[in-house]
Amino acid sequence: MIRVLVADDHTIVRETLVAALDASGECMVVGQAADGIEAVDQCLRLQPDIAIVDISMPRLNGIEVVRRLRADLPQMRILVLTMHQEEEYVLHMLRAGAAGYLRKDAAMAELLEAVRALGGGGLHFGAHATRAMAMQVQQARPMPADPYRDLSPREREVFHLIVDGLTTKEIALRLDIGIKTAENHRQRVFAKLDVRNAAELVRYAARNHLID
Amino acid sequence: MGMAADSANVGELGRRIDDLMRQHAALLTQLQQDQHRTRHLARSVWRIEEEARRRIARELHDGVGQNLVALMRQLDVISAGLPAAATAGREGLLRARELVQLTLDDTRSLSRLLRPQILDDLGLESALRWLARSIEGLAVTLELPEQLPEISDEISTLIFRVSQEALSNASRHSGATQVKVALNAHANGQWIRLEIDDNGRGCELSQALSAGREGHGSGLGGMRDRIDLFDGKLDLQSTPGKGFRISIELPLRSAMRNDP
Ligand SMILES: Nc1ncnc2c1ncn2[C@@H]1O[C@H](COP(=O)(O)OP(=O)(O)OP(=O)(O)O)[C@@H](O)[C@H]1O
Ligand SMILES: [Mg+2]
Repeated sequence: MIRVLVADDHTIVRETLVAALDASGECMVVGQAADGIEAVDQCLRLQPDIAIVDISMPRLNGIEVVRRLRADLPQMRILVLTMHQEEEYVLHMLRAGAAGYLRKDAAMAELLEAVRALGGGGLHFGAHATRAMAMQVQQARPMPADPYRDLSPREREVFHLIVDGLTTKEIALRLDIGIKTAENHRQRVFAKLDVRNAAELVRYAARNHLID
Repeated sequence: MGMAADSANVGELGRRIDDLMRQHAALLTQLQQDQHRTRHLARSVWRIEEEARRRIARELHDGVGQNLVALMRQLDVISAGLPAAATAGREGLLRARELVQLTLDDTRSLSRLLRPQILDDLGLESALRWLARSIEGLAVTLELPEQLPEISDEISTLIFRVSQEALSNASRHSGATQVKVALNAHANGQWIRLEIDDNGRGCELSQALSAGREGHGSGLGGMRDRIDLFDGKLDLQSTPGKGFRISIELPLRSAMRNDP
């Protein structure tokens, strides 16, 4: 039988969970903890197969608990069972060493599935957690640099006037500056955006949604 | 005689001027103290508001929310214990579970609206990533340094609130498709700079600052006041048709922190 420890500071949640796990006949709850420090102590003492751990707990939060337990009990599997569904929590817990992540409102059937998976040395992540990990992988591409940001307010004005099809002379007139100055702005904008001519600049603007 | 009277008058006048100068200096000190106290008070008010939000948000999420979770779990247990033939009963329990789920989702949103726990649990960087993702209809890119300097809870909260307001403005007023949020430290890590830049329709700045609901502590006006309280700088840039840009700078080690 899989030996489980449940760590959760919310008494009703913990007790209903323990009752449901015991009633399932698939595992045995060997210990309970109502805060993070207690969770670590109990795990070290009882060495369960699985620790089911909440994130928001007094004294020591779940992230810290998982970190410590991973170091001290590498063979024990940790299932995070939490109210939090945001990507960042999933990734934090994953990095800390959790083998599973479920939301507290997960159906009992899924919870038992997770217990079986982790009991057999595997992993189990709920739909939200899986999605979070997928998003992370897809977003891991390095952020493209945006030279538009580096344009000064004046250069931006010039940028948009070029996009609108104005010539250097027209730009000079419009902004009430000398043609020389206008041409300088124009060259600097081209250089900063790494484009060679107005057509390339317009393409750049379109690609970056800079055209109304 | 006349000379003596004059010099007496001059002496008297000198004393009066000295007196006035002293009074003036005392008043100035008093004024500075009052100003200092007012700022201190304003910061306290803001701090207390955020603390209240934090506590109610947590109570909603971890208290009410978890009771609802336990309720769902109990409905599951009752359902599992029903005899196979009790389809109507099981059906009813399912409806009840769905209602609890809806209430739980509402509770979660309400809690996040007050103050997202992620800010306290995982810090500013995670909170900003979450915020950037949660704005609908806008592609928000975040530029964060490899390593953020140490930022106090208060300054973190302020940076988060400014970002929240700026992104909410961008999504409601700008018609922008892209927004950039960039955070970086400078001056040897003494200052932090936040820039939020959209590619939307922009507006007249004079209009923007007077349009906000004055005295509500919200919007751009509220932003400016709050940044001022922490000795920061706010810079707005916009040209109609050419986007909107908010740039703020805050000292990381505010002189204010040493207040009584
Ligand atoms: N990113 C933006 N793009 C275009 N216009 C903006 C932008 N941000 C603000 N504005 C303009 O400035 C005005 C003032 O903004 P502010 O945030 O002070 O008030 P609000 O958003 O209208 O109301 P509140 O923030 O109190 O809900 C807005 O009504 C809008 O016209
Ligand atoms: Mg606003």
